[in-house]
Amino acid sequence: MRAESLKGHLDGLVLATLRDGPAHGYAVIEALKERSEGAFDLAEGTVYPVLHRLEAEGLLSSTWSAAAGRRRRVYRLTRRGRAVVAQRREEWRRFAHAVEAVWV
Amino acid sequence: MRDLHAELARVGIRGRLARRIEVELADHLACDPAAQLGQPRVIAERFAEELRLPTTRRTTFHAFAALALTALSLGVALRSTQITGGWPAVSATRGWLVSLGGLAIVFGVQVALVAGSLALWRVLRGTATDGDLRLVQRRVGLALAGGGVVLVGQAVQAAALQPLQPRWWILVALSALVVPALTLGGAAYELRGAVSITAAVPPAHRVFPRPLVLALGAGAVAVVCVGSAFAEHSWNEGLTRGAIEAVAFAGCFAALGRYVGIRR
Repeated sequence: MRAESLKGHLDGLVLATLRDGPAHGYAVIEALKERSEGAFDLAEGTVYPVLHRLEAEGLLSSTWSAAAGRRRRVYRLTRRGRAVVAQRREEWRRFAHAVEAVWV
Repeated sequence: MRDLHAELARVGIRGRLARRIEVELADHLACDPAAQLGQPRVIAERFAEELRLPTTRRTTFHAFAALALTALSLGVALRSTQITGGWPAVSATRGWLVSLGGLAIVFGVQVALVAGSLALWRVLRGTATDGDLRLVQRRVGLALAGGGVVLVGQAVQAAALQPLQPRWWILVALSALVVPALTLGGAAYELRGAVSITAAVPPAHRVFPRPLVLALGAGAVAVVCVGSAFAEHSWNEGLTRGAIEAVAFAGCFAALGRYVGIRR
């Protein structure tokens, strides 16, 4: 899938991957790939700036942890982030339903 | 990674944030050595692009909070002076210093209030372009400078009155400066970071309509005039201070209006 198709949706998708629990950047990108069955194979370096922005906007928080002797930044949803995920999900559901209805 | 470090520095991302980005991307490469992270230049530019708006917004809110603390410290200083029985009689030299400090406070408060409110207004209304962000950053910088001038004015007054006031008054007056000084300094540091990641474009001017400027000026003069008249129980004093406010407002608008983007 082309990156432009994701424009406007990437924030919601990144937040949604963190709904099940905290994860580091690599795990977020892998979750996006896996859950989309390979459709969202993004330029990996571009997801990190989005994670940083979402944190700066207060939708994510992050802490350092250690794994295999390396430092790793782990992201988790804030309360506001959870609310935004729920809101975006509902908006998408309505949008997808409407589009589907037109196509059919 | 060396290229990324240089590219991050080129777009203004340095220090702790740059180190964090490098560690995160190094961890990513360790998880998947074949990962396609993209060109360091593209990654660095994307970071700057994504972070400049939230960083500027956060800086504006922090600056406003720091200015609120500055106002609180001014209130504490004034209240503690009232408790000691008001301003003591001072010699000519000390009187000159106290007046100078007072002028700095009056000037700084107004500049900080106007520039800070304009920055907050712009941020809350939404900033679309780098020019808008530059304008907000310029206003925040001026507001912080105004806050700094207020603190200097308070410190000058405290130093001038030091031999004439009780010891506790000096302690209160000086310690009230510490927290606002630290928060203003913190906001200034944050502002530096926001400026460094924003493209160096001219600030976008949002010229205020002349009637609005006149109405704001008249409002400020009226508040000072009536407030002073009631506080001092003298309409003469109120009118004098109102006239000073009118001159100060016009002077600041002429001198700083273009800088803060409200006049051409």
